[in-house]
Amino acid sequence: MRKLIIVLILLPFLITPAYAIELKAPEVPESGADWMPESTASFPDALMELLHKALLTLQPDLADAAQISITVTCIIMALSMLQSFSGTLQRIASAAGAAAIASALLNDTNSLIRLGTTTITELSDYGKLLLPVMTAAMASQGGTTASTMLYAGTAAFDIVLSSLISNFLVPAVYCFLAIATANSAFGEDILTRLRDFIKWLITWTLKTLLTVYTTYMGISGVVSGTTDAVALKAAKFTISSVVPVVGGILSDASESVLVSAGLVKNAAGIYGIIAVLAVFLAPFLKIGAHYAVLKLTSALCSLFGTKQLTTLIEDFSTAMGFILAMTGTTCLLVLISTICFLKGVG
Amino acid sequence: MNGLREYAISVIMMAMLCSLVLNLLQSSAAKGIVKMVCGMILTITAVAPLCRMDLSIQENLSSSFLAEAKAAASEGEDLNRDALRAVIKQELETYIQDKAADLNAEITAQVTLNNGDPPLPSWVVIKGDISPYAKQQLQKILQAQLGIAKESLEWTG
Repeated sequence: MRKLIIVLILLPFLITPAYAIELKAPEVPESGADWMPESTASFPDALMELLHKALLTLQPDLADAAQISITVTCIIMALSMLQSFSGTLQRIASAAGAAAIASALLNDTNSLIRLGTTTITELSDYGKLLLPVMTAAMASQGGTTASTMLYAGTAAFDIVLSSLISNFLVPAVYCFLAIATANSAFGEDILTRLRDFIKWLITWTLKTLLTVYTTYMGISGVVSGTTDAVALKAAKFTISSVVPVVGGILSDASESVLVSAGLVKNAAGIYGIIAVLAVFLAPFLKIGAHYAVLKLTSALCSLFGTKQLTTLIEDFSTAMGFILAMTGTTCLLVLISTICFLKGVG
Repeated sequence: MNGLREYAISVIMMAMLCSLVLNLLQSSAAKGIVKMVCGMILTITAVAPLCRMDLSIQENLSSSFLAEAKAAASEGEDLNRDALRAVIKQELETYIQDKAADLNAEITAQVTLNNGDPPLPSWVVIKGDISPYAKQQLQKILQAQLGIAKESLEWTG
């Protein structure tokens, strides 16, 4: 007991002071916690573990999607029998078929759209927590101008993207589905152009936003990187002009602090990237599985179903494609910014 | 969810109604006009919710993210400065103690740095037994190699 007390008293004196810069990436959100690899020290290993877990959960998603696909195929088969009648019955069958397919797919599509928007919010929120950490880490490595520009640009684009997605693009997807269903039920193809316009608008908005963002990142990286590199060189020159021995000590200290800051930044960045992927992969694969199965269903149904109804299934799969694109764009935004922070100074 | 269901049902019902009306007018001369009216009604039903959307992203954009960026970068610079000061202080203290050991003096040095960029030693407190000769030699070394003037040294027994 006495020895233990002595050890406990002496223990604080054995602790050597550590002067490393302490910055940690925010904890992975709850939705990605189960997917998070045990260690993120090695990026390839963590990525492999993540992909392995992702592939394991793909099977139940495919089974769910297949169940819906079978229901839709059965509806199309039943309707194709009714299509053999001519006149009004054929048209009524076509309209009723569109309503039946829409009601079979709408519930599932709606839950996937909700999953997508929840994931987008989570990714955006995590990005907002990761940004200050990466900015501080990059600034501590001498990249003050670059990190400020990256933060400001990413935050601005994130606000624009998340506002556009929640206020415009998601309602536009619902509108697209409603128009596609109405077009199919109406059976006169008069809403085809309007449906195609909404499709084009959603795709164009996402593409343009991502292109503008990547261009901004490229230009700001070059401009601010050069400014920071010049500032770092000037600082090194100032240090070397001090009294020889002090200059050497300062130079060594500065170098070791920069190396330490770089290591901290890399660790935070890699954890951040893996955390973002952990949040993103499960919903992305779930929506992706439904998307692929619906595409397959549409292709199969085109063998015996009418063009109108097959196109409706195709439109539902396109809507899922939109949600995939929105989730992917938000994820890319966070990943690109983190990679730009990781790229370093100069 | 209820809003969505109502919206979907209203669009689908409207489309079915239009389809039915068009079927009733199979060979009528007014079919063209009815078709146009149906198309307009359907478009309004489907697109109306989009027109009521709130696209006010300006309010969010005017938020202080640039100030936040500067604050985060400034935090990083502070971290760098603190870490640099700690390393320099430790390196200088070790250097002074090593030089004193070379002169057979066992001392502990406590360095105070100024607030300059880069931070330089401004005051040194040296504790321990040291001979007058070693003290003089150490003073010379500190002056020549670390730029610490004699007046900036405090000797405590």
